[in-house]
Amino acid sequence: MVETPLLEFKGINTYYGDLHVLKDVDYTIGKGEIISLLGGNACGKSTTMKTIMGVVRAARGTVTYEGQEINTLATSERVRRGIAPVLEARRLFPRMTVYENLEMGAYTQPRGAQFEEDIERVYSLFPRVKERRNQLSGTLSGGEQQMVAIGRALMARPKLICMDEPSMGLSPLFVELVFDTIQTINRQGVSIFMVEQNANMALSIAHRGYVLQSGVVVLSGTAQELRENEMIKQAYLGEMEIEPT
Amino acid sequence: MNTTTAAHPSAALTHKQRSLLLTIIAFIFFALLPKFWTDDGDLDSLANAMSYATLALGLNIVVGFAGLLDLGYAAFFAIGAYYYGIFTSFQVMPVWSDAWAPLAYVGLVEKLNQGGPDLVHFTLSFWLALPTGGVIAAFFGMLFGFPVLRLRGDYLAIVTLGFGEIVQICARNMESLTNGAAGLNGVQGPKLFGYRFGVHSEPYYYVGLLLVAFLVFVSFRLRGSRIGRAWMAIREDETAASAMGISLVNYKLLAFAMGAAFAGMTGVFFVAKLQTATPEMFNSAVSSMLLVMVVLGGMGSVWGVVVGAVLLQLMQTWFLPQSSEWLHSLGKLTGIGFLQTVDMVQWTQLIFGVILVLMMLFRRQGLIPAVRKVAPLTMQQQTASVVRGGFVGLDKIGRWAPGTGDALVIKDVVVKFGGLVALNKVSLTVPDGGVVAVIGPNGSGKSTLFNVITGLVEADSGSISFKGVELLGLAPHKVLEAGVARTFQNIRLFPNLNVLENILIGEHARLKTGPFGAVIRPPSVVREENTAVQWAKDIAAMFSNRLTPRLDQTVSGLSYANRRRVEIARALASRPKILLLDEPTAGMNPAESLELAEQIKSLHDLGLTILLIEHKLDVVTRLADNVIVLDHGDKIAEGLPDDVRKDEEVLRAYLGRSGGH
Repeated sequence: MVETPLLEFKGINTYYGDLHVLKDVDYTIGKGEIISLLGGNACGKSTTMKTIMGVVRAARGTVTYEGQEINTLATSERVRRGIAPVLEARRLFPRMTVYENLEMGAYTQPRGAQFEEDIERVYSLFPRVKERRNQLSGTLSGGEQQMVAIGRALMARPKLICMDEPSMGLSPLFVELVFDTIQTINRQGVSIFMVEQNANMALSIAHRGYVLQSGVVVLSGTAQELRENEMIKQAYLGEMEIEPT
Repeated sequence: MNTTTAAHPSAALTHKQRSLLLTIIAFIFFALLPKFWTDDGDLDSLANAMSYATLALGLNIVVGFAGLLDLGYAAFFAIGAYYYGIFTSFQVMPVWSDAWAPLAYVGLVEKLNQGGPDLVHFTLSFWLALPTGGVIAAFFGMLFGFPVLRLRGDYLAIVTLGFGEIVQICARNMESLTNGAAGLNGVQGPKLFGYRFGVHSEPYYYVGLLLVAFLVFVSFRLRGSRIGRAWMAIREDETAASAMGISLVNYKLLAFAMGAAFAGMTGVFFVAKLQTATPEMFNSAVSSMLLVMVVLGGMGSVWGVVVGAVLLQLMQTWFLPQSSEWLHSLGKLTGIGFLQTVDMVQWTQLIFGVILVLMMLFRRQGLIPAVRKVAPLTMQQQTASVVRGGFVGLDKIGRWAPGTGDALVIKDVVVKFGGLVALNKVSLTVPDGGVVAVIGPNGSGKSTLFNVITGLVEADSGSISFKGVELLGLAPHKVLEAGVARTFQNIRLFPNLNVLENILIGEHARLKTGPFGAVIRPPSVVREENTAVQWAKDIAAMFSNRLTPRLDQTVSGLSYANRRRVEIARALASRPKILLLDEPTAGMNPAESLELAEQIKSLHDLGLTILLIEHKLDVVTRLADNVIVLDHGDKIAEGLPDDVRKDEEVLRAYLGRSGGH
């Protein structure tokens, strides 16, 4: 890639107390890319997310966004600059309505015509969200909550959306819908960085991927390469996904 | 000490031995203290500090162990205090009749003549009052506890605040009993074999020390037992605790009673030492001070609250007055006027406030945290590869012997939330030894189905019977006792407890140890506890090396998949006859899902009956004999996994165009 990447990790090391979580990790997220991060449980995937969002600070290494180092930038400022999260287990504001949740997503953006335009965009992506706009978000089903979570991220007019387990706990129908939507959003020019246990689904829409094991990137490549890698097939795809059932 | 241990004394001692050694050293130090520190006023301060320590220990049971925020704890202190005060002073003196004679014979009352009719003077022995004061306060603890059982958090705090005020106001206004605001006078001090304690501090100091030692012992014994685990489970997650077989009513009342008993005993001691009792001694400032002591020391930490109480109390009654004098001398020496007149005691509240703010900022878990830090796992312990072929070590688990009929029969169950029908006349049966899967879109009523089976939500109509027992109307812990164990969709572990404790709580309903057994710990209790721990370890070992190296780690630090495994282990530890699994493979990658599916299958092969909610159709196909499809609370299909996958209605509502891929 010739142009500057949108976001870059260089030699990132992160600790929780004594525990060394990320060890000299490098990632590049290009403009318009969907990147999938694979890895077992507790290998540092969520820490990666937190480091991108600035919830956890790297002890060593640099995080660069649009060519600028953002290591010490506050989470709220990162959102303002266009990095929006879709958190694990949705994390909506349960006692606020769907509409209010979307408003919160636009917290860093000016009110007015732009807001109306953005909310229409979310409604057109998810007609179901429009139907439910006056309902308390805590009373929605898991799939509907995920739509609101993605919609809320979009309201921040992001250049990069970081998604932590977007398909967790969703029915097959919703999983498909979520992945379709991710592609649609991506085609509108938003980069996606995604942690996902459903490796097969994730690699089917991603451009590139990284494999993290015990805090070290052990493999990276195009989605196609990763799908054909024997190690990936065994460890992450599992035979049940290959077996036509 | 022999030579080998002398070389590395600290390395040779386990944590347990080290703390025992420290305890003995501390006890000997405090036992000998009056011999070389003879200032009576200082010993008095220490004796007072000790009574605050025993109060804090009691409050720690209610707040620290069971998580019930109590802002009116001083009420029980007052009850113990007035009990002893009234029955040893000249406040209440009924007219003598011969019916009192037996009590006079055993020394509880004496006949008194002050120039009118003969009167009764109560002369309750301190040594008898100490335990009975505990019992009476415990009774009031349950009395106050009963109406607030359904409340928690802020609501509970407000109600207890009210109780605290009520008791104080009663003490102030029931003048015939308590002499009102003036307080009780002429309370008798203790006597021991004819020796009167009088007004010297030393004997009170020793009684206080013994009381602290006794209550520390009781606290530790309770915490390390089935009782303590049940309290901590309630503190961590009430719903999960009841679903794991803990009776919320019994254990909350027990916590209130136990905490109140500590306060009642302290009340007896405190009044015997002071030889008066006034309502101010038990006002809400005392309750909040005690709460501060518990928080400062470390909520749930036995030594922490003792240290917190003693430090704060000594600071108030000893250090601040002393330091004022030091500052005065310093002022005279340097000629600074301000230092000569400053009175640090007036700054007490300010200094407390600053200490609290600093503690909350920098050391929220208290001076001595209840949860010890555990060393991180080595790389080798962390590495777990996917294990195929089901659980390991199943020979230790035993077998289930399924009958031929139906284990679980659900008939026309209706659940409504307001206007929303969550389950609409749903019927299903799970054959004994069978595996049935429930699938359906998000929000179709699957989790509600589990909740109604396990007693967490009430059904509007219908019936659910398990092996002939009607489950509807049973409390969640009774459902578990009947052999129905479950996991939760969003994982409900006890986050601040470790893996072993979580699994042990699963065994709660199968163990018998009561509060007295837990404190006295007879051989039968030791045996039961050892067997329980072994069973928990056997269960953990089934997950190969995923849980065993992490037994002493708090579960909140575990990965998502390992938390799911602990939850399954906890359910299995209860020796269930049917296991209800709510999306067991959520958050696991396909390889891990497959591993778990095979493990569940291996349980099925042992004869365990399973009801399963799952979105991953591969897992469902692999496991289930029969599939039920729910949509908007209605059962829309039922049949063999392969048939259901082809059903038009199911494709429309749930699977989508690619049939689950």
